[in-house]
Amino acid sequence: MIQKPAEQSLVVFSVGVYQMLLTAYPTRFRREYGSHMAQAFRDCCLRAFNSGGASGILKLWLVTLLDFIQSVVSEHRQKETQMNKAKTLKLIGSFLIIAGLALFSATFGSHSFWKFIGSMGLTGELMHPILAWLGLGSVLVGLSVLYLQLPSNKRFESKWIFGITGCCALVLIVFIFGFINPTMMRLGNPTIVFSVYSATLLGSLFVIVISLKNSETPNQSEPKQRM
Amino acid sequence: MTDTLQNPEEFPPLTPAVFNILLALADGEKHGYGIMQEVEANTSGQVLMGPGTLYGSIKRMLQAGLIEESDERSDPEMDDQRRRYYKLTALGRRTLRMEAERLASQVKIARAKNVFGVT
Repeated sequence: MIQKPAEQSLVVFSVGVYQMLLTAYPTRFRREYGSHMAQAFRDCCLRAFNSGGASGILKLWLVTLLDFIQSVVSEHRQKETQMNKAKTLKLIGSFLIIAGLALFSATFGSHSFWKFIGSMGLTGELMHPILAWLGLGSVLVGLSVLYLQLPSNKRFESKWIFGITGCCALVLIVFIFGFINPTMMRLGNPTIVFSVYSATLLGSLFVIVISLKNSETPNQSEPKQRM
Repeated sequence: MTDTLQNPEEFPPLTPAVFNILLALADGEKHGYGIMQEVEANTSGQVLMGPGTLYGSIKRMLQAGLIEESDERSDPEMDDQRRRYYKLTALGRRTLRMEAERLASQVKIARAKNVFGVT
């Protein structure tokens, strides 16, 4: 179809303005659908101009502006819901990990705490085994919360397995030694303790860093809503 | 999200936009502008769907597994390779049928209550 200059300029101008308006949508949505929306609007402009001239374009703009306001609000609201849920889960998970590690460290008592830090847990003695279990349990739950909010295609990355397995092993070791000598226990073989404790710490750090990097990943398990 | 994992009964009543898009795709795949045209024609111009509502609904319908992207192809009329085509999934077709049946039963009740007046 050969277009007249007036038609071309009015349509080009309208599409240009619409493309500027598209920046109001959330970035992810705009990247995915922006070009298609602009193309659909351009087709609508051509048809409106061919059927009604400039007044046809004006009528189209009235409809489009209403649609624009409604859909921008809707898309931002959905983005907020997704982000809030993901952020809350990440905060809870991170808090549980940090609080759990702090609690675990604190169970070595004030005297042996610095000894524990200096020796990386090789010679530390657990003064409060139950609190130690609670601390490690908290780390494990925190790791699981962060792990479960990941998209399914990222769940089998080695750093996650590393962190969670390390934590599980540490919980098991503390439980076993706590069972053998519940009042005052040593953590057992230094090499094993060092490996497992380092694995847990590194895994936890990895998990926190990765989850913060993925903070914009949409959560697939959204609550049911009217479509 | 796969078709086998979801039941159309799990979906609450559809919005008019989603129902109209499903209806537009019932007889074959279409691109965005094609859907807009079809919706306008199906509703005698009473529903004018803008690009924002259209693609917002398409996004949610893709996530819910009601529609899927088809291989891109050029529309002989539009002659543009960049267009993205959409088609119904089996779940989308079942959902459309259930919603149409729900609406039809309500129309039946309305008739029984003489809402349309004496003819």
